[in-house]
Amino acid sequence: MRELAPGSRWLAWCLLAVTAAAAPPVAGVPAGWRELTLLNANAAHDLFSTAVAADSSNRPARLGLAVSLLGVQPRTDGTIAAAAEMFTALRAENADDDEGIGAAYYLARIQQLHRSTPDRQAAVEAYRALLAAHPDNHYAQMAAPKLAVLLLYDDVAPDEWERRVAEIGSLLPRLTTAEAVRDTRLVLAGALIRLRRDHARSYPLVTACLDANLVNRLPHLNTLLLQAAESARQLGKTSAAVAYYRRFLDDFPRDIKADEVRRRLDALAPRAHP
Amino acid sequence: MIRARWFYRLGFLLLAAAFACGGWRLVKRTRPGRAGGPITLTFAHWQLEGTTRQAFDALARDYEKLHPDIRIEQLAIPLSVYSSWGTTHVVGGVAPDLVELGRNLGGRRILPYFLPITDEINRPNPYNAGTPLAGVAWRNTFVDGMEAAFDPQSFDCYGASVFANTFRIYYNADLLREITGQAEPPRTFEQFTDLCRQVRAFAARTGRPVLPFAGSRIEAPLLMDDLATGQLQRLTSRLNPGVYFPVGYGDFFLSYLNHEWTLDDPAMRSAIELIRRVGAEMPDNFMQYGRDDSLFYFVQGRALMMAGYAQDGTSISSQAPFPVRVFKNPAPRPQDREFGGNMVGPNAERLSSYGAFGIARASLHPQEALDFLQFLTSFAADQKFVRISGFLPVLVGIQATGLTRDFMPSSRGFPPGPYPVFLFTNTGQVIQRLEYLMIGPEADQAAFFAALKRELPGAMREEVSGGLRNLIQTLQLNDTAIEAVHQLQRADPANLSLQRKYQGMVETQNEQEATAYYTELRLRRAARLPLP
Repeated sequence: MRELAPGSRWLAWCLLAVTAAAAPPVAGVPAGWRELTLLNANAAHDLFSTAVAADSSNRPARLGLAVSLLGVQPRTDGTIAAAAEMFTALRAENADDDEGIGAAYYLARIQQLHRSTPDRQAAVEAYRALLAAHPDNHYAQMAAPKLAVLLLYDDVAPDEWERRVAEIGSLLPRLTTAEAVRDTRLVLAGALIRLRRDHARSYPLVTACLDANLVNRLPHLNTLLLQAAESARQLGKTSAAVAYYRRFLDDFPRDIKADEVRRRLDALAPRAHP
Repeated sequence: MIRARWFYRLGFLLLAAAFACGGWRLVKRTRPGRAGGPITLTFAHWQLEGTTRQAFDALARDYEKLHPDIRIEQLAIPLSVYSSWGTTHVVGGVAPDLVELGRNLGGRRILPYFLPITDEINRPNPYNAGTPLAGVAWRNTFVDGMEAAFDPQSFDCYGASVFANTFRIYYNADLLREITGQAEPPRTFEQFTDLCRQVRAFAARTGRPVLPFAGSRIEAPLLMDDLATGQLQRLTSRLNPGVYFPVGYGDFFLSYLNHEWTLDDPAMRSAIELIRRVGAEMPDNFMQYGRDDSLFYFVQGRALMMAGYAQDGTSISSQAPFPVRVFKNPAPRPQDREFGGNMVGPNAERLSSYGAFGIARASLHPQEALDFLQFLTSFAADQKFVRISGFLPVLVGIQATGLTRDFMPSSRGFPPGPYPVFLFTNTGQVIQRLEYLMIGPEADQAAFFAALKRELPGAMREEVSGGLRNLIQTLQLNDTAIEAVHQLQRADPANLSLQRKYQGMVETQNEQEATAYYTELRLRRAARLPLP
């Protein structure tokens, strides 16, 4: 091999140093997840790739690699197809461990949301299968509100829509995680109000979540308290309407709707509010 | 030949010198402080109004006195280039330490370039020690709970703001007295239109070129939107049976496309009529004018009134050779015979902050930047900022002073209809483009409504579809972040902060997914209907 001139050697060392500095640190799977929480999917992808290259049997790292591909930029049909391939392989190796069940969930998500041409029917079937096969698993619980959204916000005949409401209703007693309990109920309640103006069936679903303090997002809580109060008023449950309007004023005293809520409260129960 | 070569060399040397100089300035601006040497923190914003820069300078000097090892520099960037300037600097990794978020600088693609301060906002701001806000969690020291900087997708907070405003009508107090013989500004819409008539009569009688209102494409829509959204209170609440409060403009447009209301609705007719009447009190072709033009009209005494924000007050007062006062937009009230039927109450207002300062991930001094941000948003600093800049206070318990007092929002009344229907949306642009058929010599109401019926559906559909595309992209990105938080939480189940974040993110994702599919369903149904 030819000897490098002193200047070239210096340049080579510089390039090597720059390359080393630019390479992702071998920091393992947790670092990849941390990058993904910040939506740095490309950095996460590099970290997961390094971990998988070091140990191809590392299933959590392979799950991370496939999930990160769903966010890698530029987003192309090719990256989504590659992610689907990885999830399929994870599932084929073991369909019953956490990574295998997670892979089934993300394959459904790809059909529903990530493909440039979604296949919603395939997603519905995949969610149903997941819920049937692993009802208590975290990913199956995650699938419940997704299934509700797909089934309820679809243009179908009234009879079919009612059949779908019944299907989601039958899922409710089997839900165990706080997120699934809350969101499946709220998706159903929202569809009943938006598409049917059905306060009677929506009300108990909303109040179950409010009364168990399951709602975290403040703008969501703001709307749900008003919705519960308005439904209660329309259903003749005056004391419940007063209680939800009061709770709204306690939680959102400076809200732009507060003055009108005080007026409504006055109409329901004069001098009922401070 | 030798001369030409000499010129080439000189050119090359000059280029090299310029490159070296630029590189040195860049390195100097961003390098960490030497041992014992000062650190320079830079913050960028687009608030060029009035005395805002002086207010920031005063606070920067106060901070430097407390921290002699830190120097503060502000970069005031014109609004017209802020978005592109900010995006290139932030994405390029050369952003200042603190950057004002907003004006298209934000959202899921930009926020990853900033550091979340979610944990910090739940602890007291140390600079509030010894004030009424001592010991209060930083987020709760804000009137709006730091809503402006909260990213609903990630459940993280990305900054803190010192900016809040409302708009009011400035008037020339001397001219008002000269025209009406009285000092009191109008309180009702009838009084307002009567005053406008008096101004025109005064101008005709005296030959002085005085107009009732100095309008421009910046301020006029503020006034018009306020009037119009009041008229939409009942209509847009009727479209929201779950809560009977006004829907947002996306739902408003979708319900139009699905034939749930028409342009012949009395509320819509009244909204347009109010816009027409107010527009007629402004200079011809006011939509061609900028903010400086209307300010010029006003301070020269050629218009009695102009609309503006609180922070405009200091520059208006300093340029006007007459006493300047303000009054609240005298929109119709429910008792109004002509326009009251569409309203539930006066438009309620709320004080909400905007334009939070985020800490750039590229900052070499994130801890110092956070400390300076806490200083800026402390009780004493906000008090001083409000006094010098004229902005409204964003912290609990701070009283506005001087002209700013009249800008404090009134929460009495009913929320206005969807905002900003007539300002920034495609639909608003259609209305603005057809303005010549509504106001002025070519005005023709029938032609205006015919054109509106023709053009609105397309603009509304585009508006809603664009929003839906953005939402779907956000949902796709969030899928990965939610899985990441789940995995971190599994590894650290006792971490309550991660637990809250996970629950909030999943809730947001499912709520927004339902909204996206509902929107898509309504768009599909609307596509099957004839045009409204």
